[in-house]
Order: sequence, then structure tokens, then C-alpha cells
Amino acid sequence: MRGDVLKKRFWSPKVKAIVIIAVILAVLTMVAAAVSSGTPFGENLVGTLLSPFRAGVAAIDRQAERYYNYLFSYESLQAENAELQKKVLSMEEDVRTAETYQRENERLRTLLKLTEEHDDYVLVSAYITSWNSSEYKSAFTIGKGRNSGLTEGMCAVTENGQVVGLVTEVGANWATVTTIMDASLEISASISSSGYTGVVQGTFLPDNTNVLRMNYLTTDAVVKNSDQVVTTGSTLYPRGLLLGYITNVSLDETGVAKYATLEPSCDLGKLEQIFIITQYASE
Amino acid sequence: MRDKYKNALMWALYALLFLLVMLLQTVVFGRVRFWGAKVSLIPVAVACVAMLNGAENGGAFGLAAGAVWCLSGGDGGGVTLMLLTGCALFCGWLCDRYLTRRLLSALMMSLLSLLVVQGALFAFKYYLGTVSVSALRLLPAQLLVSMLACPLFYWAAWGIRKAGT
Repeated sequence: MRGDVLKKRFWSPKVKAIVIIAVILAVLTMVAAAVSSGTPFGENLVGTLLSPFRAGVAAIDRQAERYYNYLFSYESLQAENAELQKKVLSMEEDVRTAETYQRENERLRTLLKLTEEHDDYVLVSAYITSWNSSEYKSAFTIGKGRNSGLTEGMCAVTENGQVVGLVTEVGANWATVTTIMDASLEISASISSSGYTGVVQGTFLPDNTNVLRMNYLTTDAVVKNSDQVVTTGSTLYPRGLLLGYITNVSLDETGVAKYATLEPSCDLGKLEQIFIITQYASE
Repeated sequence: MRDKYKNALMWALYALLFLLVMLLQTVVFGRVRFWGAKVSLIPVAVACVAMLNGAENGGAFGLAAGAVWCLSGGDGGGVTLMLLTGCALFCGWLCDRYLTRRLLSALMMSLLSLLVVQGALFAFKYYLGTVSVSALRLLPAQLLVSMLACPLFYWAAWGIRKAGT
């Protein structure tokens, strides 16, 4: 009897309506996400409306972080600066040595050529406005979208040309970039020194750490630590973009293929600004 | 007329509070991890508002918050929408029926909402095979860090409610 009274009180007509609307909305959003080829209308609308707020708060957050670092990390910044100065001096010495003994050094020429080759890239710069707050997803939102020429599948890189991730959702003035550390992203890649190919994917280990793995390497693949892993290219992004460096190689769970653990080429935690390759000359 | 204006003002301020919480969660704390876990502020905010406004009004707020969260590309999509609505309805009903509207109740309701939302999301992802069972170890840290925001949200929601009545 008492249970009936409580049940009636909880299941009032208004509560029933709310539950029904929630279920309908949930089903609609799931269906829309499953059947639509691009970003669903509702998501696009909310993303577009939120984008200026996200950009504003992100700008304030960046400024606050700078002040915080200035106030509380001055000594560590000084130490870092001293360390960097040492590195610069060391690198300058290396360059002088190279210029003295090997003016015709082939690697330097190749590097120069490589820089020239990047002239065909059309890059759109964008600031990161928010990060996906999920424990199990690595993605962020940027303040540029379809209006700036972005489409799904384009590649996001750092100013040094290191791969950050791929554009997975695009709105009018916002886009979501899923990073290379996310388990849902699979990027076709090759080891630049040996040419072995595989698929690079973010993976969660049993101890909850998130690592980058290159899967489906053949068992006879000869792989060395610190080998560079680069993209093999697609219709939407070029080949030869740096993904990471090999740190370890093992047989995978099936025992019929090898996988390599990679250290990502860029530090995702320190990213503020990224560049999307919107056009490039395909080979 | 004045009551209607006050009521509209209250819900506008609640919407603003939710927007602020959402931006805090995604922009400011989006990539920050505490003991390996990210904060989850939305269930806490929804529980605080729902417990102060009862099952029906709180449930409607939970539904609206869930819909915006889901459409903004938030984690869990439609599942989170239903979880937030359900938690708001249940928290509101518990406070209508059994609990007094105080900070202690807000803490209990927030903890309950966090447990339900994050637990169900984990179960859903585990069922899909995207996470391993060891990821459950992040949950206590996430609950602890997220609960720290509860008093702040409770007082904000309480102040807004006072302005609207």
C-alpha cells in the first residue's frame, strides 16, 4: 500500500513526460549519429553556439596559465632557459663542425629539400578551445571549422610537422580533432628507415596508461629502437609525417604479428595551437 | 507577473551555471588529470540543482542539461542524457520525500549521481570493449576530486533558487 503511494508520487504525469522525452531524445541522437554521414544537425548547432564561449574561456585559461607560470614557475623557467641555451650552443657547435668538415653533407641537403617540399602544404592554424573530458577518449575541439575549409579526415600537425591527430567532426566554426593517442583512430604508417608498414593506434594498458602502438608488423620485421614512424598517406593527408619513435617491440597477443610501442613525436599535454593540412600536392 | 519574472530569472541563471560548469569541465579541466582521473562536474551540478527544485523541475533541468551535453559531443552521448535525467529525477524525488535540502543531502546526492553516471558509462564502454576492467581503478579518484566542487555548486544553486523565490 505504502509502496503504491510512493510509486504514484514518483510517477507523476510530468515525470513520465520527462522520461519519455529523454528516451526519445537519446534514441534520436544515437540514430542520428549512426546514420548521418557528417556531423548531425543538432550537434552542429550546439557546437556552433558553444564555440565562441569555448574560445573565450580557453583564451582566459591560457592567459591565467601564463600568469601562473610567471608567478610560480619563474625559477624552473630560468633553469629551463639555461638548459635550452646550453643546447643551442651545443647545436651551433654541431652545425659549425658540419660546415667545416662536410659542406656537402647529404642529410643537410635532404633536410633543406624537405623544407622546400613542404611549400605545397596549405595550413590552417587553430587554437585548442576544449578537451574531451572522458577518461577513455583523447580528443579536443578547435575554433575553426567548415568556414575555414576543414573537412573530416584532414590531418592536424604541430608547427614542426608532427602528427597530432585527425579531424573527426566538423561544424561551421568548430571541429573535433581525435588525437593519435585515441583507441578509435587507426593511422596507416611505416617505419621510415626500413619501410615496414603497420597501423598506429592508441591503446590502454592494464595499468591505465595510454600508449601509442604500431600493430600488424610482420614477425620477420627488423625494428630498432628510436626508428621514426611516419604516415603512409591517404587521400586527405600526405605521407611522411612524423608520428613517433619506436621504444619497444614485442609479439602481439595472437603471436602471428609484431607490434611496436611508440613514443609520440609531440607532447599532446602542452599543445595550444595546431595546424590543419587542408591541401597538399599528392604524389 | 513578478513571480513569473523571478522564476524565469532563476532558470536563466541555472542555465548560465550549467554553461559555466560545462566550460569548466571541458576547457579548463579538460586535459588536467588528478591521480590519473579527470573531473566530472556535470552530474554534481545536476544533482545540486535537482535536489533543491524537486523531482519534476529537477528532472526537466536534468533532461535539458543532458541534451546540451549530448549535443555538444560530450562523453556517452544518449546514454549520458538518460543517466542525467534519471539521476535528477531520483535526487529530486528523494529530497521531496525523505531528505532535507541541506549541504549534507547535496553531498549524498552528488555522490550517488557520480556513482551512477560514471559507473554506468564505464559498464557501457566495458560492454563495447573499449576499456579494460582495470580502468575502474580511476573511479575513486574521479569521485573524490569531483566531489570537492559539490559545496560550491550547492551554494551557487541555493543562491539562485533564493533569488527566484
